[in-house]
Amino acid sequence: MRDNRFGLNFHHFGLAVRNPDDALHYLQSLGYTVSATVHDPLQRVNLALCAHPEMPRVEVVWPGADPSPIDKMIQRHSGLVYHLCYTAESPERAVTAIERAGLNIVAASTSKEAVLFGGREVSFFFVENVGLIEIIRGDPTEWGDEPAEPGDVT
Amino acid sequence: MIDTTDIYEKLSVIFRDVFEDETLIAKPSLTADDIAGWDSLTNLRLVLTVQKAFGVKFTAHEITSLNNVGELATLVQAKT
Repeated sequence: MRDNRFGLNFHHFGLAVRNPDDALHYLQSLGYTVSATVHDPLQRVNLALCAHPEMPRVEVVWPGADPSPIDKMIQRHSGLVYHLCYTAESPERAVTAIERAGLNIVAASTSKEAVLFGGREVSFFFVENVGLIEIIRGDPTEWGDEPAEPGDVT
Repeated sequence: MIDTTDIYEKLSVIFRDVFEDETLIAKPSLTADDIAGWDSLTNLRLVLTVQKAFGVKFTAHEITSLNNVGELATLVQAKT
């Protein structure tokens, strides 16, 4: 196994779009299954997690009725992969390890409960010259209720 | 504690670099609504650059509470 100094395990790409129809059609045509759409009131966006047996998960993110953090981003880009999401047993230890590796990291938001991931704690950070990362606390092999696994098509 | 004028001069340099606009002047009333490219990702790049330039560290709560450049300058001054 390769050395993973940060204790981060990849979970999904975050794809921000103005309108989800084409992105979901594109992903479904690739063989992805799409979870039920949820509105996350804390992040003020709509979300659908797309899973595939052979390709990385993609979280499609689009605005709801109220102003959202992705509004200005999608004014300039109709579709943009804007974050990488990982799971970690300890997000705090991961952030400390990133800092100790000499990378500049800043907390982008206080940690929140994510509706799409069963209320699990998520937090966002910005790593200089890398971009936005999301960290879900926990070990997904123990979750058992993750949305958008193959067969969960809604 | 750094003088307010020095903070705004330094912030102007940072804003010009981050937003690639040599005409930008950091003033207290400036907000994300005033600059087309100031989205949530650019805001975080801006915060990181400010932290490095002034040798300060902001909490997530402080970052998300900022409403304009005046509040950013005040926060920088309080931490230097």
